[in-house]
Amino acid sequence: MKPASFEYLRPASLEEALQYLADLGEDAKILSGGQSLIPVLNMRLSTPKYLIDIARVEGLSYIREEDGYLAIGALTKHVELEQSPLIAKHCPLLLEAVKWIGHPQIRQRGTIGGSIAHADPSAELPCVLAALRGEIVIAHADGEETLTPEEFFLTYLLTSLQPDQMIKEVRFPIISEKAGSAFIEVARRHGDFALVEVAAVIELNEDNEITLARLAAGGANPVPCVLESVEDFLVGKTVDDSLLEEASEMASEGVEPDGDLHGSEAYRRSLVKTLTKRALRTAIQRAGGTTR
Amino acid sequence: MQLSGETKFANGVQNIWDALHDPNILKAAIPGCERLELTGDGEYDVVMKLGVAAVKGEYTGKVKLEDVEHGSHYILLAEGSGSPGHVKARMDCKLLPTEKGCTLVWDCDAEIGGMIASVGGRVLGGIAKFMAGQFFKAIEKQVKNGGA
Repeated sequence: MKPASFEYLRPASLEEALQYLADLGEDAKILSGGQSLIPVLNMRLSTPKYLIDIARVEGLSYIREEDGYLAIGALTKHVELEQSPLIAKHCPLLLEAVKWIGHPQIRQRGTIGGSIAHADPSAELPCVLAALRGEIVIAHADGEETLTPEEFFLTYLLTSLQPDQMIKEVRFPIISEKAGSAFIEVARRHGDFALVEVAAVIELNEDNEITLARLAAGGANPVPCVLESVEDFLVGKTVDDSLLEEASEMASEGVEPDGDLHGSEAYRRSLVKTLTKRALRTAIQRAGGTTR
Repeated sequence: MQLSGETKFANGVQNIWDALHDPNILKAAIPGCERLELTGDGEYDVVMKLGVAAVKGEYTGKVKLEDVEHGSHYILLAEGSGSPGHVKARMDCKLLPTEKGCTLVWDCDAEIGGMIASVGGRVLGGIAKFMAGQFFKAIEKQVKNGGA
């Protein structure tokens, strides 16, 4: 299948890209790595008049450590996250999640800004961003603003991004190196869209007591779901098996999945429970704790 | 595709009923509504511009009300089509008085065809629910501001 005809624009700078957006907004679509947009164009689900290819915009591909955050430029490719020593050191959760994104070919082209803007609730990066309480930096011709994932993700494939705006940077808070993390998902085949995925971060003190918990599920709700009540429940508790059982039960009650051809509501809910338990157990072990 | 929901309003039945039947309020509250005109008894011509993910398009259609029991119940029949596909929906709306105002209980059966149908029911349902939420929030806001 081939896309409907469109006018192709290739800005060289962010300013130029934002100006195109300001002028053409509603009729334009940004092309980044093209891993979601190109199939949508080919199936003619989308027929934009203008395609603004930002692949050659300078200065939007970087991974930097800044004020307690890992600041990642929107054009940074998944493979670059996968190979970054900074991410391996400061955000192993992100590293683990990136490996679940599609296949190596997809990770060679897909970008972090593209994945966040596409807002697929099964996608790995939005789930990690929500779990860690990251930030999304939006640029438009008149300036910039920073949004939380909660403000940004509205529902399936829908974000608060306006026609004249684009994602410039994504920021992940750096979590202590003592913390343990885990990212697990279940898909029908490796590389398929996740049915459910869970991201967990745990920090423990010497007494095997949880001092910090971060937990989010993707693929269950229309947007990445931060399981705040479970986090609150875990903090201050000493780790044992019954704690994990209780926490994962709470997690499965804290989501509102819809069923489809790939998995019923009940199956997704039970996956949330199982994966939460596994992710928490792994995160605890990696934090130096024991689960027995 | 079956969808249903409930929306609570802090206003009385009469206020909400009037708002849900006022073309000006409806036009401002329906997401992406470009035009809404009363053409006959309880029949409207509607033009909507909607962008969901990368799927953007203009839809034109007709909305008709049936089985109207003033102040408590009506059936909304909507039919529309646009470049991304077509939709035919039957929405049963009941307005029930509560202690704090009223509740609208709606039950919708929608047939979706064309390109847009390939997006998948879970996603379309989620987006429809989100838009219904936006619509009811906008209605409530207008009633609060004395629009009705």
